[in-house]
Amino acid sequence: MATRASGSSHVGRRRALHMSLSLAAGLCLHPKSVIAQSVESVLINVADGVFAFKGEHALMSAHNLGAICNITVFVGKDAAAVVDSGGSVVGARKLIAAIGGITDRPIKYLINTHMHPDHVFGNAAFRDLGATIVGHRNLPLALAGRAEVYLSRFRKLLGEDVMKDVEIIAPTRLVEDKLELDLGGRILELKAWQPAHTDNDLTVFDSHSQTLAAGDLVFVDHVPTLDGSLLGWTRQLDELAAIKATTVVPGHGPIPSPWPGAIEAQKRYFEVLLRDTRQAIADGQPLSEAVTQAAASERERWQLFDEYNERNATTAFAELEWE
Amino acid sequence: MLRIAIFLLASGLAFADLAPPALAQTTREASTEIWNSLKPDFFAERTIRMAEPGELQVIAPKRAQDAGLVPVDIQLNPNISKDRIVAVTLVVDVNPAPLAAVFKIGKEAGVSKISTRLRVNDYSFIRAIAETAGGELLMSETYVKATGGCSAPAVRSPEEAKATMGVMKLRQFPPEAGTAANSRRELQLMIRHPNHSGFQMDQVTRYIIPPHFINNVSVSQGGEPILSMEGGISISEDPNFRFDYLMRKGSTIEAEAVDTEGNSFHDKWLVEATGL
Repeated sequence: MATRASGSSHVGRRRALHMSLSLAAGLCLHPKSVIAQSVESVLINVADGVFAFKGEHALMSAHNLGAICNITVFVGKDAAAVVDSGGSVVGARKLIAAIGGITDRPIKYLINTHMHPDHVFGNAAFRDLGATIVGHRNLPLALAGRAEVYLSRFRKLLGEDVMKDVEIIAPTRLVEDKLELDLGGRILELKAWQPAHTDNDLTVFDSHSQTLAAGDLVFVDHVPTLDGSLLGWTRQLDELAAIKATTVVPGHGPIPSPWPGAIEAQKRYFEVLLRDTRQAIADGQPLSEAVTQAAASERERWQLFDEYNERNATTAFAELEWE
Repeated sequence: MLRIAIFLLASGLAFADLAPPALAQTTREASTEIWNSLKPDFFAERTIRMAEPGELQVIAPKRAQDAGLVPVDIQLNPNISKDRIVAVTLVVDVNPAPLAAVFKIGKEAGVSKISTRLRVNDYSFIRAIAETAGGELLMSETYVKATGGCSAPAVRSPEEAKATMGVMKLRQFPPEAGTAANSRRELQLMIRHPNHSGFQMDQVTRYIIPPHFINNVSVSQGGEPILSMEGGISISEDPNFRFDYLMRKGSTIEAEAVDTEGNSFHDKWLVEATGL
């Protein structure tokens, strides 16, 4: 695509990038494991003109620069679009530099899939490039209501160095229901969903490559996290699965993952969480007890289960007890 | 371009060696200091002794899953040396309005546990201070790690909240299997209400939503009070109270709630005399 129209020069450039990055990393004399992971995972070629950064399965930390979510880059003839900005400006600038290694097309759009810090804390780096920030119609308000708490909490967790230049920047182009963005020979189809993972979830589908950037509507291996509506998410799974993609970049999980097969494990987790929480409510268990047991049978199947499952169960319980 | 990429990547990695910074949330000592300054406002110079676990205990998760919805259980011995507990005050030291609720217990009600859900704004002690009929004060405390509970946006949309405001649901729980047949039962009163804290942002205007919350709830059985609550902004959206009482077969449970705008909500239910 764009200036790297030929497949061979494309690959050549990528290999060169990787080698150079390895060299640069080596000169820094940092622990090998960190370097190996960061370098190898800078940008994975998902399809022609589609690249993705693989976030690690961890909580945001100073160690990982908050880079825990997957980020997708779509390159067209005229422009590039980036889906999510990652968990720090420091990390976003690294990413932007790496994107510069695969295309000289300008990054015209930054698309935020939802409000969570690991997906929006790098926004300032893209705003500084002049990119238009695009998001769900509910995103500006969701961010405004949480900005102060997000910033103060993560300053404490990540430290000032990693939080340097982080601002909460709301999208200026909003998606009411659907929106198409033309990158030149590649039209991205954006869809705003009803409350599910959050109340401001957005997906990006590229029919050209049949790739879906699902944001946190899809988790693979990393336990799904719930900050919206379990019923809403469950209800919309069929519509999500019906998107005519062959490949998905999940918000968290392997890149690429097969579509719609990648959604199956998450579907089962929701079914178990729904069943267990409804049963606990029917049995008269109080919230404080129910959340420690709900979906316990799923523990071995997911990473970060202990970090998020009780929170998911808390949200589910408060929603389901009014049924 | 490539050279810049390498430079930035390398400089970014430099942060990888940083140790995680120490947390700087309210410490136990700072929370206690706040409490010491608040105490005279609530209890003047009266002595408050630490309760034995068998007398009074407040229980909450050490780390909140959702700072806007922190489950808190108060367990109390209704008769302490034949001196009945008449009231329990719930305090969250660091909240902008620390007085979360004052529960008053009906004379014949036999209440021995009260559960509710609180907003917790920062790392803080949650305290339950019980007062006996003889005027003695005793306290239990537990430290909770939570952030941002008072400003957390409402879970439900304003339209949805308005349409259902004041709807009540009462759950009546049968006795646990294997317990001796007696009249002790649990109730759970759920009230649909946004319970705006005054620290949340309006979803449309982006101004802070004025506080609007349930400030009074009373539950009675056949006209006799079981439990009443005077509450503040620390009670979570959709206020939720679970407590036990001594059920009287054939009686009616009535609940009344009043909010800060003077709206009054009322409902009643026949007791389900299960297990007798």
